[in-house]
Amino acid sequence: MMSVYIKKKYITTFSSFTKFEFSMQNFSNPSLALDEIPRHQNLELLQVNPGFKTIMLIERTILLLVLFSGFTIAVFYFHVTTKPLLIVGGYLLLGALLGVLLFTAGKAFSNMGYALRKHDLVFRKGWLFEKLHIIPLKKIQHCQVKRGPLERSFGLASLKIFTAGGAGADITLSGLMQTDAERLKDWLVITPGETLNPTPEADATAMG
Amino acid sequence: MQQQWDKPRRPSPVIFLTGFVEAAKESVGYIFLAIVSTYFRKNSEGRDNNLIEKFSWLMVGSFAAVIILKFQKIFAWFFTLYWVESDKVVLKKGLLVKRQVELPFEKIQTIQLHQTMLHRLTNTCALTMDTAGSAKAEFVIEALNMDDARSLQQWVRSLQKDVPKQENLVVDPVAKPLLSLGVKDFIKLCISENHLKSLALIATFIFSKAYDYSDQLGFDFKGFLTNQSTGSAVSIWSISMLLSFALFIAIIFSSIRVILRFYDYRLRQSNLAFEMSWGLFTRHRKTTPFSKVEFITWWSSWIRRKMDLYLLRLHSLAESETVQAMHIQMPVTSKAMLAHITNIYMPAMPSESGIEPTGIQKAIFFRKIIIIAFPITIVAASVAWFYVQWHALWVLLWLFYFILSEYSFYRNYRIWITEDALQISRGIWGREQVVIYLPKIVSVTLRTTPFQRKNGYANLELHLPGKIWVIPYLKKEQADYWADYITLKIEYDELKN
Repeated sequence: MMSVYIKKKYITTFSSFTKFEFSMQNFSNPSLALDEIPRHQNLELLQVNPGFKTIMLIERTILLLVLFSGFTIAVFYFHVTTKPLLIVGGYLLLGALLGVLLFTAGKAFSNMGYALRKHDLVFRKGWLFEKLHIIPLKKIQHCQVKRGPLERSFGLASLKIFTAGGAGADITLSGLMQTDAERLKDWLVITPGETLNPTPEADATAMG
Repeated sequence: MQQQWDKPRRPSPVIFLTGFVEAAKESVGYIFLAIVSTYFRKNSEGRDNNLIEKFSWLMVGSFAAVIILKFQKIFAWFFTLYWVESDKVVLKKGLLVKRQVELPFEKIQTIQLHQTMLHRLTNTCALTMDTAGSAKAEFVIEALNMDDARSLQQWVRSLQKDVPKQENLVVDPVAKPLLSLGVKDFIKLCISENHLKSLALIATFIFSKAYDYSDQLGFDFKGFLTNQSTGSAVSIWSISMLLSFALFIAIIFSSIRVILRFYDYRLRQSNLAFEMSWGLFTRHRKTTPFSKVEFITWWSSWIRRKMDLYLLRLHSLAESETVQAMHIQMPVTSKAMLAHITNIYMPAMPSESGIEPTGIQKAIFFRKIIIIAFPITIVAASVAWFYVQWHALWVLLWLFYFILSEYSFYRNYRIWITEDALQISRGIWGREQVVIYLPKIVSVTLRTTPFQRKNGYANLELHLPGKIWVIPYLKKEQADYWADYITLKIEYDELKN
């Protein structure tokens, strides 16, 4: 069962916001005070499946193995076997790179997370260069579930989310259980319009 | 009227001619190369004297090659059909690979008519329809009778549910244009063009062609350049003469570009759309419903600001940022006219609302100097030292320019956010203004580097269809607040609708 964390404080503030009348005739647009606006900082992000960390580590190790192989072939092809310092230095450098990549993979995984709110999806990724993306659900054009060989072996899937006018996917949510990815895809594309409750009472009921 | 369009129809027979002209245009470079390599080269070696006969055979051969290679384009009439169904417009084309394009009415963003000289002589036009889906127009018919094209354009617009009634979009063709360009405006546009850019374009073209043809012509262009640069005496007089000549050529070239681009420019306005037409040889005609404009920008260089001249762009969902031909760009010749046009998208400009603008943090200026300017200066000066010794210090001039321009960028960057809109003013010497109606934003992103996290800064990215606007180095709390507020406005607007 997919679970979504939404902070109590956020629910309260957003419910008070939906008290506005949504008809054009009576439409008013009063300004909100700073503390009335729902804050993304108050969200507890949901971590992706731990299996994805293993996938990240495997992918980075494969990348480094390719580089190791390339370097080894280059050493023999260009006949530099007589320069041991160069060879040792090259392997040490690649080893250090592997260490950095594996270390950053762990950090990036622990910093990765998402939260599904009633009206938007929040996604954070990256450790050194952190990126926090907020996509209102109504702006989503379509979604796509992608499963690579490694993801299939772990029973995971990635969900690509597209909005209007973008050249590629705006967000790729990796490390989801396949069933969750499928359900989330259906929910993001089909459900958002149906979840909008026009009255504060219905809204409060929906929020629990 | 439905009867007219629901049966498959072929384009105008003029498509034979347009196809051939297009094919010839694509092939002209290769034909010229073939002529140069087989005709001039052998002639210079004195092996072939029957020049006229050879030339005519070459032309016939090239003509046949164009027809064979571009068969599909030239004979498109046989393989192109289009019709309108109850909810979409359909185009079927292709000889070997059959392609059927179906555009649902609600996805069509712009419908444009283009007229080349050939189209104008034959009272036809090319018709294109864009959606938000790709950088290129998906629906293109190269030649269509002008009346048919106008009728189809209006018919499709009238069937679009989200576009208001057809009569609101139709512009009275005899009504006085809202904006047209006089001789004085042309002179202002020509003078204030970017002549350095023109010069760079000319130089790139000449150099690339000279290198391409130097082998065929048996002329050593590289050697010629080296001899000229080392052999001739360099004096201030000769350099200034050369620069003056280059500037003169660049001004002529810029003026030709301006005239070709904005000849007979007319902007008309209906209740719900702008219609623009322009161009000397290729005549363009675009109708842009106001509701399809995503955001607006206008730009003026330092000299154009003094002349009260602006280039306004209406960014729509269909256009690609990289394909300039798709841009809806208009020269506006006064601040009053600019206010009149922008008023349709945004009745009250955030910058004129009386609120204080927010700037970006000074750290961006220092970071750029430390990360970009200093390393480049040190490397460039070190390399230059080996060749020109003390003259390597000239590199410092670039450093000075960089510091000055980046400081100017930091100082000039201003953001205003009102209840519904955001305006950015930025630029180094010139100014670019960006106005975005907040609900048009698709999503927001906050980006931070370790340095920014440590010092409490963040970059705020506003994702709009086809474009991402980055507001760099805001205070973190400010960026967080704006991200939340903009998200709220987008969601609020969606709920409202």
